Order: sequence, then C-alpha cells, then structure tokens
Amino acid sequence: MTGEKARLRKKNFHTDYKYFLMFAGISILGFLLFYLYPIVRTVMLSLTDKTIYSLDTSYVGMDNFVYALTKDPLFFKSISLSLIFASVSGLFVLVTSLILALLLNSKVRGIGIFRTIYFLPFIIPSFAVGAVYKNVFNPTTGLINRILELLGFQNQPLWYVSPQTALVTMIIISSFGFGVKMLVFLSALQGIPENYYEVARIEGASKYQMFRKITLPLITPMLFFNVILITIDGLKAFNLAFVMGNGQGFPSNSTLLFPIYMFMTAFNMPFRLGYAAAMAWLFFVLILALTGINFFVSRYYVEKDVS
Amino acid sequence: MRKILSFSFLVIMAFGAFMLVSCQKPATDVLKIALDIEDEGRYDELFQYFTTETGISVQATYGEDISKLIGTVNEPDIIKTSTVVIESMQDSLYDLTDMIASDPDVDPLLYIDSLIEALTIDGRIYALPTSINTSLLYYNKDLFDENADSLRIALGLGPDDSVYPEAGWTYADYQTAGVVLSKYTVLPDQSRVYSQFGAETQLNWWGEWLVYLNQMGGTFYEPGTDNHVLAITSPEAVQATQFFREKSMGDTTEKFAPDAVEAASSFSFMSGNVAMIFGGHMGDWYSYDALGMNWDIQILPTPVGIPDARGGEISADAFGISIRSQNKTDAFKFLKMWAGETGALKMYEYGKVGALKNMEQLILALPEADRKAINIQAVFQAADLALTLPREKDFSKVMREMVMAEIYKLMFNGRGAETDCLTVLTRIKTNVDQYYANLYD
Repeated sequence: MTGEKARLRKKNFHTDYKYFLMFAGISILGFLLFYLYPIVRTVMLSLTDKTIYSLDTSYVGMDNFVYALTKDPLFFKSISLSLIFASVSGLFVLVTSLILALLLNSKVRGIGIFRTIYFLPFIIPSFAVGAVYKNVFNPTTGLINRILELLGFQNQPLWYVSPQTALVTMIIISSFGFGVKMLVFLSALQGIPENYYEVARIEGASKYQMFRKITLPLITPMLFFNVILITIDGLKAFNLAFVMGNGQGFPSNSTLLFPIYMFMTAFNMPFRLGYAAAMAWLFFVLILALTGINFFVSRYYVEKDVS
Repeated sequence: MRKILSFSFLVIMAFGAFMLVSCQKPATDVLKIALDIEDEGRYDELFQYFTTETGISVQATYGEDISKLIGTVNEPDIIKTSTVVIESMQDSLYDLTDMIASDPDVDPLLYIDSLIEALTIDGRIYALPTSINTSLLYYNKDLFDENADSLRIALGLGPDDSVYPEAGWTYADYQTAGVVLSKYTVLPDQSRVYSQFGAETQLNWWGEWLVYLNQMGGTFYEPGTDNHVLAITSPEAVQATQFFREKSMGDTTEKFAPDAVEAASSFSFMSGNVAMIFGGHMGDWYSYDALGMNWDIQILPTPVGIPDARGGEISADAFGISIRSQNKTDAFKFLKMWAGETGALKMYEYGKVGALKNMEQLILALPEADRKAINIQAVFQAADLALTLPREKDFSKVMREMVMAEIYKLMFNGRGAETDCLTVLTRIKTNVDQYYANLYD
C-alpha cells in the first residue's frame, strides 16, 4: 500500500513537472538567454578592460570599480543628476498621477474619454514626445516662452539651451509621464467599497477627512508599488534624456543622466565596454539600495490589512 | 491536453528553427558591409558592378551601429573606420600591408599622404581611404547675390569683381561679409531680432573651434607630451576662443553668427537663413543638393597677420577588413575597387570626394554635365593646407565631454553662461590633464 502511494506520488510529481516545464519552458529559456546570460556576461566584462573592438582583454580585477568611485568625476555627476531627476520628477509624477486618478474615479459623463486622453501621452514614444517638447520649450520660438512673454514676464528661461535649466526642463516634461501610475492608482481607488464613504458621510466626515482616513490608507499598497516603479523608471530614464541632450548630455553635461553616460562610455570612442559594465553594476547596487530603503520605509506607511 | 502539448511542441520547434536559422553560417560568396543610413541605395550600382566583374555579391546593411555588430554572426567582412577612430578599432581590423604589397594594382602612394599616414599604425596599413572630409568655407550664392551691392562697398570691390569668398580672404573679410549678410530688426529697447546671419557657429561640434585654434598658431596638445597634456591656455588659444565667441556674442566685434539660443531656433546654413559655414562637413553636400541650394565652397580664410597659418582639418572615411572575416581575399578585391578610381568616381556622383591624389584630375576629366558646379579645386587646396586630427583614443571623448561642454557656456547670455575665455580654458585644461593623468598613471 505504501509502495503504491509512493508510486502514485512519484507519478504525480513527474506529471506536474512535465506540465511545469511545458508551460514555463519558453519563459525559462527566455530568462536564461536574455536575462541570466547578459547578467553573467556583464559581471565578467566588468572585471576586464574589454573594448568593443579589442580581441585580447585583460583581467583587471576591481580596477574599473575603483576608477569609477575614485577618479571619474562624470560618474558621480551622472549619478547625482539621475538621483535628482528620479526624485524630483518622481514626486511630480506620483502627485499628478494620484490627483488625476482621483479625478478620473469620479462619476461624470464621458469619463472614459477623459481616461483615454490622460493615458494618451503614455502610448506616444518618448523620442517623439522629446522632439515635440523641444519645440514647445524653444527659448525664442517656443509656445511656453511666448505665453510667458504675453503674460509680461521678462527674461524668460532658456530651458534646455542653458545648463542651469536643462535638467529642470526635462523634469517638467517627464512629469507628464504618469500614464501607468495613474492606472495603478485608479484600479486601487475602484477597489475601495463605496459603503466606506457612505458611512463616513453619515458620520459627517469632510472630503479631506475621507481621503485622509479611507482613501489614502487603502491605496498604500499601490502607492508603494508606484513609488518603486517611479524610482526605478526615473533612475533608468534614457529616451527623453537622449533626445533632449542630443545623446551627449547637452548642454554642458547638464542632462548627462547615468544611463546616457554609460551608453556613451560603451558605444562612443574609446568604446570601453568593461568600464561601462562596472558602472552598470555600481548603478545596480544603488538602485537595489534605494529599493531596499523603499521597502524599509514602507513598513511605516503601507497599510497591511487592506482587505 | 494533447492539443496543448502539440501546440507547445510546435512553438518550441519554431523557436528552435528560428535560432538555428539566425545562427547559420553565412554564405562565403557574399561580402557583408555595414554602411550609414544616409548611404542607403547610393552604392548599389557599385555593388552591381563588382558582382558583374567578380561574381561576388555584396550585401549591405544600413544604419546598423558597427560597434554592435562586431563579434556577432552578423559582423561585416568590410568595416567602416576613419582616420580618427582607427586606433580604437585596430584590434578588429586585418593588417592589409602584405596584401597591398603583393598587389600591383594598389599603391599607398596614390593616396593623399597625410591620410594614408593616419591609417598606418606602427608601419602597418589597416584601412584604405575612400572619401575625404576637409574644412572649407561654404557659402550660399543666392544670399551673396542678394547683397552684392552692400558686399562690394563693405569689401571695397569694383563693379566687376566677384562678391563671393576668394582664396585670399582673411578673417577680417570673412567677418565684414558676415556682418553685411546678417539681417535684423531693432526693437524699441534697442535689442536686435535677427532674421538672417552671415555665418553659422557649430556649437555641438568641436571642429570649428579647433580650426580657429590651429589657424591662430595654437595647438591642442602640448608638443612632446604624447598627447596627454593640453596647450589650450596659450595666448593663441585664448585669441582663437575669443574670436569663436565674439562672432556669436558680439562683445567687441559686430555679431554675425547665431549664439546658442539663436542656433536652437533653426538658424542654419541648411535652413537657408545663414550665408556661410566655416568648416562645414563634406558629407552634407548631398543634402545641400537635395534641398536645391545654390552653394559653393572656398578655402578657409586666414587670420589677419598670420598669412602662413595652417588650414583646417582633414579626415577620411576608410574601410578595412574584419580580422574575423572568412572572405579576406574577396573583401580586399572589393576594397581596392572602392578605394580606387572606379569607386571614387562612383562616390563622386553622390557628393563624396575620393582620397586619391589625382582625384582633381579625375573630376576635371569628366564631361562637364557630370561635374558639380562648384569650385572643386578648393577641396584640394584645402586638403594640402589641412592637418590630420589626433587619433588618440580618448581625443573624441575629451572633446565631447570636457572641452565643448565647457566652451558652450561661453556661447549664450543668461544663467549658467560664462564670459572669460581664459578662465574656461584653464578649467578645461585642469580637468583634461587630470583625466589623462588618472588614465595613464
């Protein structure tokens, strides 16, 4: 009897395993090929002086990491620009996406049209968005400065032309990238039972009190999810910075976000792949640390018992 | 369940087949070459000619970054390089010296000396030059014609003299013409709104500044330092930078070029609202023609008081053979055809000028209808005067990230702008010298 049980269990295991492999096989293959292999390869590259065109590469140990951390001022500049960009634009995106989600959660006629309109910028490629905004923010011919001029403002900003304001311009533009985050908030808002608000209204709660005591606590898991998403998105921002900064951190390295600097290091002369790989790993550690901090801080604001 | 199993099996098989097809060894009678996106279709006739002559097909891809193809199954047999990047690409290029020596049809002496020297590393030739780029003064003939009377007065020309730039022009002539060709309206607060400029300033590229630096007698690197210490705080370098700045900012001279803000507002030679480019790129000829511009070229003006100043820069697009190519012999056959007279003349049809010493004669021997209606002699005069760019591996990085990033701050008014050239140049020198010291210590 015991032997029969064991045989059945073994058979079940084999059947389960077969199905597991069948359904997950392609994903596992994809993961191995397109994620694990590049990860391992990048680790190996980061320990060498490999350039794109070199045949012989030498093992340099931690030299690339030491150089980045002690001798490359542009490494630190690009990291700090990325942190500023991610935190400031992230904050804007978080607030605007929450406000818009609250507005779009209201019961008004034609709400679907508004939802589509607000989501539209997200589906337009960021390269195109950047090109359009470059015209909008042109210091002499752009719409923004024309409006400021009509309003009587003197000495309008030079926006992306000046090193002092180029990053700010990019932050303003990227603040409109709230599409997915807005949807996440919207789905969270729609999951809140209406009777909570009815009870609060009967108790005489104001709209602010309802938001503070009901809405906000109940959407904190999604708020946390969005914070993680926004942090990583902001730190990895590439397309907009590439368009706005002509792929070179223009002007005067003021939009030299870390992904741009890494790209330039690897794919422009002198094509230092090994060093770029080391920088990528240092950046990974930074993102990991920030995500860890986010998780730690989330203990204090994420409502666990939402259900 | 059986259907799901069959479907999954089919998907996996299709994926496997796709991978196998992707990884299959390329046919050996096909030469692969990667070209720039703007070259698409330009050389089809040349490829066809080669196939007819040799039976070997040429398979070109356009717009794919060569740096991403190296080491992959799609690596081209023939690799594009240049006199500037050849040192960085040396490891991937096959040494052509022996092939050249054993082929009576190829003689390095046929090419412009400075270019073949630039493609030679430690006495070994790694690529053959196919087309040159040298600094020239470009001008829009229509804008000059429209202002002919004003130009004659300003330049002291007679009624029968040409108003177009002459080979003997100095910076002063260039500046005078530039001022005449700049058009603006004056606002009530006395500020000017320009609708046309005399000359373009290329702020995103270091080439123009470097030419001023060289022409005014300066050097970028300190001689004898193995190109690791900058010499840009010299009086000549400061003077060059001041000239570069003042033509756009008009601090002490009359402004005749757009500053950084105006340049961002579509003022350019190609837009037709700028009359001249100092040191424009020969790769743009095709675009000028496509836009229907009435343009011509002249050698660069020389600084006042420095008549023997050197010219601009010269570089060349060149092609080498991948060290991993299975078709080196066929690739060399193609290369020598392309870098030879047949290729040079075909490329000339598409606005490129070959690197052969006798290129001028080849062009002048063409029927008049096949020749460009431009002062082609200027190209060869400029090439004779020009200097080759440093091919030091970090030169382009240093220029892009450290030099132009700082010089740009001199080129606009407003927050973040700088006005003192020496201060900016000193900061650049400090940063770049430190960069090289860290790199090579």
